[in-house]
Amino acid sequence: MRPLRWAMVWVVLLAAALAGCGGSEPAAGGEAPGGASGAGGGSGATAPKSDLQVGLVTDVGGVGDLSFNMMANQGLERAKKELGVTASLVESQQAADYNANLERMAEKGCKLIFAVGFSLADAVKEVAARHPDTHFAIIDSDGPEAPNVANLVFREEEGSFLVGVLAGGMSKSGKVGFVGGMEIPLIKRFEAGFRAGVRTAKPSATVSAKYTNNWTDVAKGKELALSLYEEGADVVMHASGQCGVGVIEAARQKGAGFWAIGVDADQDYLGTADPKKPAAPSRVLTSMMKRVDNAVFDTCKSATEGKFAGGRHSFGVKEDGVGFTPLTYTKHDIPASLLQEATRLRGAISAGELKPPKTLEELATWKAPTMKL
Amino acid sequence: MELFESALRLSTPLVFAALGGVLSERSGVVNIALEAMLLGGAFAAMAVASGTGHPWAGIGAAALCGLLLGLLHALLVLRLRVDAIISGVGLNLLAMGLTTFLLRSLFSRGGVGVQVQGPGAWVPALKGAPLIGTLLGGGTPFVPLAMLAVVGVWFVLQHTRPGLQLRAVGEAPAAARAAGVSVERTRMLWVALGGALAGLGGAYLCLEAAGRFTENLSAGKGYLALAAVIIGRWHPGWSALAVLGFSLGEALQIRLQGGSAALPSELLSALPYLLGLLALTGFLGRVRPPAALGRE
Repeated sequence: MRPLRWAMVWVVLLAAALAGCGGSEPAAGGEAPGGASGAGGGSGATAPKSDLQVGLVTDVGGVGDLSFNMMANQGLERAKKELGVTASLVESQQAADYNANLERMAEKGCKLIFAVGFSLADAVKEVAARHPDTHFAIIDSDGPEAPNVANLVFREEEGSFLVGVLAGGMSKSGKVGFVGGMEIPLIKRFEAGFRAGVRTAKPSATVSAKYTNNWTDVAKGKELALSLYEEGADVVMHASGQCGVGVIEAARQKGAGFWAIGVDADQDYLGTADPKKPAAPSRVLTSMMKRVDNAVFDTCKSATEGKFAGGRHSFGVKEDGVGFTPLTYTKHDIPASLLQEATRLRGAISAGELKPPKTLEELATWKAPTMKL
Repeated sequence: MELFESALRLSTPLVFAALGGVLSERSGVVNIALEAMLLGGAFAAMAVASGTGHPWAGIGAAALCGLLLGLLHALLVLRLRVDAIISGVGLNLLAMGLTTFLLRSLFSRGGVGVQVQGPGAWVPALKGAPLIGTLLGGGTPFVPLAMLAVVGVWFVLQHTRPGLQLRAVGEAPAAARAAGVSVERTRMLWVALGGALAGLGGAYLCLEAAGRFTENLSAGKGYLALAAVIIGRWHPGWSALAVLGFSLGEALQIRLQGGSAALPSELLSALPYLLGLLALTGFLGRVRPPAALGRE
């Protein structure tokens, strides 16, 4: 009697919890066939139709992470609208789901399946081997290597370099901060590029880097940023997932003269007085955009044209894979000469004349280009 | 000075959660659902504060949400005889799933809820006065509230009749029953009130620390508070001191980072749990949980 009763309670509670998680699927775009509404017709361009079925499996952060999962989903949404592909989305609730989620997409008949995040590499390896005729694309991972797997990786150091130039140019105190999520090579790439950018714009400036050791503790992100501001920094970049919300909040609290720099998505609006109706000024100087959306869209496009290619695809400034935001709310705060130089350096990176360092070791021997300010 | 300010900011939500844990566990109900109460409280604070425009309404809603979660935990454990650990884990999962779902469906702008503001300084005259100003309400009212709550919980526990009953049902429920105290009702009351306190901690996280609600905003602080309860030997004052100790360590760690003499921050993050384990295994002197904790 008793075990039965409490088993029932738990079935109800767990169902509620799962409904809570799973319920976000339709809200985020869901499995509804896209492109069918023909919304693109009004614009004059004929919306192409494609019978390609695309699947997207997120990492545990889900599409609400403000970061690469969200950006990947945006790329998929765009592919639905502009290429007319049919898209399915599933958010992984835990690492154990990766394999099953990918398999489910393959069995559903998806011909191109995106795996968002390096954590899914092992699962992709297994599932891709079982489905040699299905194409896979994994974000942020050099592995696995297989003819039907495309590895979409980013040169984060290039975008971080450019926002570093802006940070160095805007810093009045000559001290700049960096808040990272975890000390892993991926985040170190952000740090190295950022440091190089600051050094280029202001050789005398010092950069202090601190790590939160997690991706969700907003309060801790804020404390780290506040401690950097206390130490004299007036610009702080973050690459720390949701902790960055705290970094931005710290800049808002400190007020005029203090800046935060966002990451991955365009987080500039978060620094405005009312993010629901964003308007200048913003305490977020700019954000280092990592255009996972572009990478997803481009891969969908190649696939619809029958030109899907496995192997490593690297996205940098040249491919519009990384960069900084249009500076919607801060354009008037940034001196024209600084903006001009940043734009020039972007051109130099794009042309391959300038290569920002990927690691702190490379940074040590890296020679900064000259800037005319 | 800035170090202490930072430690106060870090400890405020933990103090509320730890007091909630003390009340619940001293009455004999194991409570690992503190995490759910923090998270639920934070979400309620965001929803109501942004809906009404009144931060205090949000704070009230956070306390109410914590209270309801406490009541649910108590009902499951005391009426339906669910194992308290299972109930706690379940509530934590439920809070996580439900707040994420509601955030995305009702408030989402890319997963980040709407901007909310704290209630502002209680004593604006003390604004900016370092430390003392913060302690007396020159910054956020949550800091003096937390101190009042520590003293209040201590006083109620040690010097009032309901406090005596609370301790009685936690130590010797049979004797309490013989004396005419309803064990179940007493426990339910205090677990719920403890939940309300933990909910206030959530309100602080949302209104003061983050300025908005994000998914999994509590980030494990409920478990940290529970570790403090154990190290503080289920005493409100000592638990609050344990929290302050953790927070000082954290604030120090944050300030040491980036310097030359940096300690590995991962190690420091693990320290509170390590201390909790040591306390439980008796290395930090004799630790005696409430005799009837987790029993009938």
